[in-house]
Amino acid sequence: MEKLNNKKALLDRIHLSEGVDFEYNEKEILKEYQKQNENTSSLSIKILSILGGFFAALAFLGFLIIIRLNDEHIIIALGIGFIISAILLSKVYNKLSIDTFSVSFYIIGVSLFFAGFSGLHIANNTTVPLLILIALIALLITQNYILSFISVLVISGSSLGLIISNDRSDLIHLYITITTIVLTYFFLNEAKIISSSKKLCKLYNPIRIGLVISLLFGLISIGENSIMSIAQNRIWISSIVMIFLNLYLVYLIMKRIEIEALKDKILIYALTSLVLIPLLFAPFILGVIVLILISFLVNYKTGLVIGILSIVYFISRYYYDLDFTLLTKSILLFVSGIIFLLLYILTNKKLNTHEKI
Amino acid sequence: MTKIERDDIQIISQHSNWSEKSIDKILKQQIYSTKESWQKFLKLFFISLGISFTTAGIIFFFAYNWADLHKFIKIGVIECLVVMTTLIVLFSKTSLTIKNALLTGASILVGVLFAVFGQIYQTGANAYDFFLGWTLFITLWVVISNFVPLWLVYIILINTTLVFYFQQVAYCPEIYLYTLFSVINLIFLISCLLVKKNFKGIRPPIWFTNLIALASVTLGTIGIVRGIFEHRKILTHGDYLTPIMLEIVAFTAIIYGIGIMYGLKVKSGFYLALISFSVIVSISTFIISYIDFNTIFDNASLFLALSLFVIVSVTITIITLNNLQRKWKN
Repeated sequence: MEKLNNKKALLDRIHLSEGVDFEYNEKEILKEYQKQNENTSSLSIKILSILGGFFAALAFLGFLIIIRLNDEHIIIALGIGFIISAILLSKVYNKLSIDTFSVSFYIIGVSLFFAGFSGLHIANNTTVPLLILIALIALLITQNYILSFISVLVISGSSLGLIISNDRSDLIHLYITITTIVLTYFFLNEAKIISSSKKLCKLYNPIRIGLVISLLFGLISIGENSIMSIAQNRIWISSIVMIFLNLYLVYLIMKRIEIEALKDKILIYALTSLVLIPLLFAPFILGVIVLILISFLVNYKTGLVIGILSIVYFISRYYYDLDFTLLTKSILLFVSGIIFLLLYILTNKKLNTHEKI
Repeated sequence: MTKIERDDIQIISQHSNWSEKSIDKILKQQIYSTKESWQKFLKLFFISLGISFTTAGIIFFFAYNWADLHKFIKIGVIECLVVMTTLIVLFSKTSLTIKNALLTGASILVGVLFAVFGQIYQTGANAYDFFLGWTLFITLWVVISNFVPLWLVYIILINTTLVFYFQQVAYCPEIYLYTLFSVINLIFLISCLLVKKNFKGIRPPIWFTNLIALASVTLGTIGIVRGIFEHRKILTHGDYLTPIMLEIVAFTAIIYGIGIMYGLKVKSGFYLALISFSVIVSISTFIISYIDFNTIFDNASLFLALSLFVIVSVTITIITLNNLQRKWKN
């Protein structure tokens, strides 16, 4: 009860600063808080229901294979049935306790739908866009956190699948470019998106984490040669976009930490380029840097943690795969280390003098 | 006055005509990273990248094993580096975090020193005494700095040393190893929690204790899963039931029981979720172990049972956790 009173005080404060034009539905807001209180979802619960839903779906699909269900039309009908029930379940109940069921049904439905169409020898280029459409419709109907998150993954996973099945690995650059730009837009225009409509506001959190994972999918595909063979001499195409995005983020950060002198700005841009340009052939590292900077900018902790873990992985991978002798690698690493230490000393000095002023 | 959070902004925005401009303002003022946090972040970011890259460069250099370099120079260079870093830590005026980060780098260099020693005198790179030496000689630094990343390195080192010890010296049967290491990491976890309780000044971060708990439970689960499969193999070969499996299950059950009691006491949903998931995985494995892959087409009911078991048990766990968390909150 005390918590609700706090929220009321919060509302009054906003009302005060917003003036008379501010209209709000107090009853609905308190009802929303009540509902949030009843469904206290934590990260472990979310992971539990996704993993549980996934394994249950896997076992059920195994069951269907064993009972030799091989009439494609039945499979497709079953798939559509599962998808519809998943969406309806989450729409009608929208409760934590039902999440695992809807996740499981959704995965079963999507898999059956795909399997049925493949069985009928319909080309992937027809089936996969249909899957994307289904995921979009799901996003439109239900704003349940986990189902929306999985829908985003279905969309990005399908796009990647389309690229792989058509053997058009160059299109991965398009995928990465679009994902990164959408992600940047989404992170930087938070106020615009959550104030635009109720649905988008509810979808904001699941789409945000979905975009982070989708970007990682893309970066892993371009970083791991085993997934698709990407022309190494054109790998810089993604990097160009990433470098510009990084520079734009540096511009925003400088605004945030109030660096105004032109000399400092030029120095920072020069140093940033010095760090970024050698990574021209490692767009996956550039992409993770975008993720880290933008997550920290909007104070999004999950994104930051994912970013830091992936940068450790990607950098190790990069140096491991480099085709140089250990001695050259050692010199490369050592020199970069010294540059970073210099950057540290520089930031220390610059930021401290600014503090004094 | 309660601080406004992202959730609050989203909920209020859904049911009001709150303007984009005001939301943007409040996000920038109250939620987004401030100038101060950016300064802290940038410093930490550069120093950790700097130290890791430099150390990695040094490791690669000695891994190259330059034949022309005399052994005294090799060992001498590393020793100088270790001494220099330590002197910087002792006498410079930088902040404590930076000093601790440097000390972590120095601790890695001690490992390089032992590795180069092993390289020159052919004592092998995976001998347990190599890791034992490394672990012992950084112990003092670990304790003094009390720096969480360094503790993490230290725990990984102890685990590595013990793995090699049990493989090379004690010849422990592999099936026991996972459960054994689950217990070892559990001991770390318990000491960590005891320190947290009894020394007010020392607060190990929650991600650190959760990470150790995750490692311990994962190892315990692997122990059980492997145990079940080995046990089934023995059964199908006509042998009788081994007591090993019972020992492992009994041991793990006791640990999990304590874990659940502790989780309830400190109101940690993480421990409860983790242990429940491990139990669900173990029981699922038990069901899977009954599937005979030679006559798989007769086993449809087992797959259906497995699917139902997972979905129902996970749902029950989530409902229970949700109820508990609600109770804890109010």
